[in-house]
Amino acid sequence: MKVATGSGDGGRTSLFSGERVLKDDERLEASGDVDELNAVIGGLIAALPPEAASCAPELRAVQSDLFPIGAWLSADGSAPSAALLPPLDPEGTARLERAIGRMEAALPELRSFLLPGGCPAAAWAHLARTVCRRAERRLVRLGRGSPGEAPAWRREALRYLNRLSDYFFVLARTLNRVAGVEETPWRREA
Amino acid sequence: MAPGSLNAPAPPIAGRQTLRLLARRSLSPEVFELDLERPPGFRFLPGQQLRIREGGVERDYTIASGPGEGVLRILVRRVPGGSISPFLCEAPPGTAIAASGPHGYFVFAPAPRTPVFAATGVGIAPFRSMAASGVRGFVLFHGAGRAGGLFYREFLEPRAARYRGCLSRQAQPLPAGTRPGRVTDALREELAEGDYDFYLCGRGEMIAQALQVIDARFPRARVFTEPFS
Repeated sequence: MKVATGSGDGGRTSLFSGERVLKDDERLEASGDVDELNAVIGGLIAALPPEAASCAPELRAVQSDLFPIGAWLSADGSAPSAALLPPLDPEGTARLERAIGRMEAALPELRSFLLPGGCPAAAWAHLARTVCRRAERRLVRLGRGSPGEAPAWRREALRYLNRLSDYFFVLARTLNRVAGVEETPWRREA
Repeated sequence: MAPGSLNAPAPPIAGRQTLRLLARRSLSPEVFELDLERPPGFRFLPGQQLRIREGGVERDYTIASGPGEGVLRILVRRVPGGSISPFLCEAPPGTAIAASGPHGYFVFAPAPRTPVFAATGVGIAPFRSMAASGVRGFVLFHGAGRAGGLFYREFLEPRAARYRGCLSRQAQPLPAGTRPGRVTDALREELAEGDYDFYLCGRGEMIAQALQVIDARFPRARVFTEPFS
């Protein structure tokens, strides 16, 4: 697969369903957020301490889950090519819910807001959480202009991204606990 | 223009298969047409590809035959020193070839707009498959060095609303139905104003240049691309 074709030098690109759009098209912004999230997860995996290396396969599974979401974001659902895209599997969301439950069971109860940060991997997890929320907001905005019930892929993508940002929050707390880094609660006066 | 079969549900992605090479024909000194056994139940959409594996290397080849034909036909350009093409261009009939598929999303999207197919060299394969599946009324620009590189012309020209071979190295006089120059020249000079869906398959340089022309002349067009190196 050739990466540099120069076909986008004019600031335009083709959506998956063929429309030529400027590169700041809202659908590209949305799939760009998902792409950015995927890259941040790559940074998180690279920053995992040895004692949390077991998180890597789960995070790579999330990275794989994000690819079809990005593809659906740039596809017109009526295009035949869209029929070839894999449907978004609700099992991905269920897997996140199980992981959240498993991690929460080992964490102390949350009694206040926390300052994002801690060990490097936890800081990456917080960054992933915020990029994930941005991708979710962008997806909601995309749906505003569409009358009627949202298509199945968008409903499932919203569920997945909503759960994924919760997952990153709980993962950040877990990583700090594993690394022995104390969480910093927010205080009204620093 | 477009048969209902193109709106069929997505075909299942088959796992890896071992396909028997049934026949090989030379279309030019560098390009060969290979017929591979089609496994029972193997379904694909015109424009999709087979992924062939040999010696730990994989390459994608677009299926040139139609979904209704009994074999899987691919076009292979022999690349000297290449990883797979020398093997495919020399393997005797009966050779078992590891393949998976179908892959890819470069499929025909029926629409009220006129489809414009633009291909260079073996990039004609997906359009041969689309025409074999019943697509009609398309404009086709096929680029090649000389007239001998206009593969499948006899099959495609009667099925096209307009066919034009674009020959970059052909001596004068040019054969009927051809013009000197490249596909991008034809896109720039021969298409009237109108609503089009463009399908581009060929080298990345051709696609990049074609997109510049399309963006300038037909900014509302839909464009589907399948670049290869």
